Amino acid sequence: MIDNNEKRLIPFMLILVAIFLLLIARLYYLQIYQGQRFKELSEGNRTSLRSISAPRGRIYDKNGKVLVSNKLAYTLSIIPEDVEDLDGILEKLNQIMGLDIALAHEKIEKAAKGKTVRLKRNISHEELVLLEENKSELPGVILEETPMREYVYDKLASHVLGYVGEISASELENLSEKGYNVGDIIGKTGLELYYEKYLRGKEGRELVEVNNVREKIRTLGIEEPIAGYDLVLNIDAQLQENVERILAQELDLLTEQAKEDEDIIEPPRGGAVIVTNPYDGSILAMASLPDYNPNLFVGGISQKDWTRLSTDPKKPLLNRAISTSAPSGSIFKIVTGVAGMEELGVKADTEFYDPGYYKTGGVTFRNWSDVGRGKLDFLEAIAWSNNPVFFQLGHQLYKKDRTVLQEYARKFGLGEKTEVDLNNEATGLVPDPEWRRSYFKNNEDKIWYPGYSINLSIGQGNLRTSPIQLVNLVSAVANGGKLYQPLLVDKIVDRDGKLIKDLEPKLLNELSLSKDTLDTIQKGIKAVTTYGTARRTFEDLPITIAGKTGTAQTGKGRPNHGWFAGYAPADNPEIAIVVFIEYGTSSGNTLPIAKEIIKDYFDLDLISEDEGSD
Amino acid sequence: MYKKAPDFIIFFVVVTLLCIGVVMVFSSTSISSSQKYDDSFYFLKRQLMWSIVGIGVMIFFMRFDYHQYIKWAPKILLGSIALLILVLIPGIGKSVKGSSRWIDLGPLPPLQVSEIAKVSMVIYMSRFLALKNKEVKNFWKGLVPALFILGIVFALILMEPDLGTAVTIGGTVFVMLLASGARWGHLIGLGSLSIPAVFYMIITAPYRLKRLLSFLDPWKDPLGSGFHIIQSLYALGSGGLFGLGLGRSRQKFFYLPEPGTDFIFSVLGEELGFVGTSTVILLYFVFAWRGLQIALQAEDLFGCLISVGITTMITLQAMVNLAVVSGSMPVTGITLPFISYGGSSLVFMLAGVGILLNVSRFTIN
Repeated sequence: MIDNNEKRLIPFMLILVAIFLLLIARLYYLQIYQGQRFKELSEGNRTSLRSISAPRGRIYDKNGKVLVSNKLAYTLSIIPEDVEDLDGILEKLNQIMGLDIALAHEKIEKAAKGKTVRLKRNISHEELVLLEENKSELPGVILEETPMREYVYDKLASHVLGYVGEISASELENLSEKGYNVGDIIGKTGLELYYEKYLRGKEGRELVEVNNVREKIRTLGIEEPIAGYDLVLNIDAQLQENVERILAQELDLLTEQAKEDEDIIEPPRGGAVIVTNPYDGSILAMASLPDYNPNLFVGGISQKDWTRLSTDPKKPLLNRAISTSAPSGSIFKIVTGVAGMEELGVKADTEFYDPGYYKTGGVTFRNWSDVGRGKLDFLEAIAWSNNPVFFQLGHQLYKKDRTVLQEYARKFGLGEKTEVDLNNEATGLVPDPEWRRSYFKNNEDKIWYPGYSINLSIGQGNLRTSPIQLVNLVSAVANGGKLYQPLLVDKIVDRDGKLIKDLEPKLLNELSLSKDTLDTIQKGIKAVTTYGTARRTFEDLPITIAGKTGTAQTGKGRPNHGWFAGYAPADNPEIAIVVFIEYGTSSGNTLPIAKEIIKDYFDLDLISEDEGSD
Repeated sequence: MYKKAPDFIIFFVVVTLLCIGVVMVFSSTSISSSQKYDDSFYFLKRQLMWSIVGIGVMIFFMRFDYHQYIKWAPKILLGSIALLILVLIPGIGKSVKGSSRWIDLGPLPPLQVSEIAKVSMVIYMSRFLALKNKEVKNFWKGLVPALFILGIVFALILMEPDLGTAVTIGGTVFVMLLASGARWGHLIGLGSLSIPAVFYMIITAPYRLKRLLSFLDPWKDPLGSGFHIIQSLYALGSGGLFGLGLGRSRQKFFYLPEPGTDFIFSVLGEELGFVGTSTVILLYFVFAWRGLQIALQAEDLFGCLISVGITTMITLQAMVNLAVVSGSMPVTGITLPFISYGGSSLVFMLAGVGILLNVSRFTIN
């Protein structure tokens, strides 16, 4: 039996010997015969693994017009591990094109191992020529074409779109897990920031064979980058452009007037306009002035430009449409009116008496006009923005419940973020006894006096609102009580147009208002423009609009802010609109802006005098 | 009743390979473990501990009379088949990178059940073939039942999926069949029957074919399927005759996948050169040679077959790993016995060596 086994095992022994000999031969071939070649290759003398930047997603307006795209620009990069004399090369680059050595060192230090580090983007033609001439002295330096952000219409919608820049040290610390590396481009503000994870795309890699000065000879393998997803906006670029132009013209006009008129303490600082669809909160235009050119940021902003933009007292980088925090003035009467009708049983024809002021506890609250109007009904009170009537309502509401008015303000979305798809939205403030207790240190200041509620009833005092909150408020009046999350982006699609995400506006709140209340408020703010405070501006428009002006007191002897919030047409609203002028002196200054925008949107001709008198 | 001391050469070879393993595991993982676990000795400590535990287990089985297994073999096999089924149940089996090969044991290292299956398969087959020795030449009565049992285990391991281990078990059983006298003709004929099956497997999972062929020309897809082989060849090639010196591998930093397990031999080749790689290959050869000597001199057929099985199992796995990292065959995720980092797999492999050593104590001459 054993002999038998021996015979059977002999073939195995032979196979075993053969296989082991082959393995040794193979290793001899790899390690000794081909060793030098592999060694060179592995030392990276002949290959280099480079990253390829992915183009960011593009941004389109609602009609498919490209607002943000990418163009190719030269970028100077280096793979630190591939370079023998790093300090020498940086020194040389400093001589040739003034590269900041300290900054370069900082980037290289923080870079992930083996990664391509982008030292300078958007190389100019002159720099390119110099680099080409000196390339034999710069082994390992990579000149590559990388996609660079391009804001096609420069300043158009700059606050909405935002801008991109190289990732900062603190951003890198927070985001390193998401695969960001030193020198990567990242959204800094606006939609670029809010939708960064969709716009970013995925970096590719390329294995290249290089020569002795580490120039690429040929590509050995490539993993294509994946472009970021595109955004399709609700914004209509044409409307946006017109809105910006109209706002700018009016601001220029007011600035001129301020120079000539000594009564005007200072010219307006800036302004904002938002136009939305009141039925779903989609934003058709959002303008904020003064603005800036986001193209300044893409290749790294110059120190000069940055200083100019960041120290300008008019704050051109601020998106006033969402970051403003100011009293709403009389626009708040919509809230007080609704509360009065729902809580106190006020009707459209309820009679009030206006002696020209409202007096309580020894304090006198004045109207914007010293002459009392005597008897008037509630509808007229809204149309003429009558303060004494609303003071009365405010006081009665306070007597009923100290915070009932604030509750209505919150139902209309005040004091809360609207969740618009942008960062840095102002929360605003609806002042109430609770807030006063926690906000002030002095015991005296902690008390909530009835006067605060009375002041709140006409939108003054500590109330803080933003244009985006007020456009939501007035939209709710237009659509019967629904408060939507306002959205700039309609949908996210990939390069082939395939839908990645369809953005549905969230319903933030639905006010359950009686039909009577809703009708009266709608009639009231329609009356504002037909026979009330704003009649003169709108009388020559062929459609009726509904709206309310607001003048926010700023105190400290400075001019008031001006507001307008409304919708058009009044009976079948298509758009809601908010205009804000910072230190605009009077709310009346917002009206020409609103009018021009409505004229432009509905493509209206003015009614001539003859036809009007017909 | 033992006739002599266990085979000293095998014992020496295995301990030497274990020592090389501990050193290489440290060298190839110190960087990544200091990054991942903030402790550059993380894998070293574990490899050292499991090597010592493994040697203990090996000595235990070395003293345990292998004739006992004849009685226990069916139960051992049934037990491992149960484990192979358990590991496929989500929640019990631990899924890593898409395959569930391990059962989590809490504080203990996860149990790689196919390692148990390998040893139990060898034990069971030895019993089966020893008892049915007369019938093994008969196709239906001998060969088919044996292959049926193999098929069950093979299929379960493929379902994890773990192609490398499945092939090792298949190869081991084929060698055992031949050693027990099965006809080459039968086995070659059956082997050719499996060609359509292999074909089917490749078609249903196209990545296998891409992987399968990439070793022929890794440069065709240097960033994809060829990447690992290229990096392994770079590592081996840069080693030259004497290597870059212990700890000096560059490929292990960033380029080599799994430098502590599947590709540990590439790091060894880069650091210790051709001298190091040929020494290791020689050690495996000595192991295989001595293993077969034990088989030849075993006092009974059961001992002979169990020796052939264990020797083949370990040698085959070593040969496959060496062939993969040297770019001589398609990449299959398989570790290098005694050298690659491993917890339970190391222990079960050393248990197998213990059984082999026990057989050597009963040898004639």
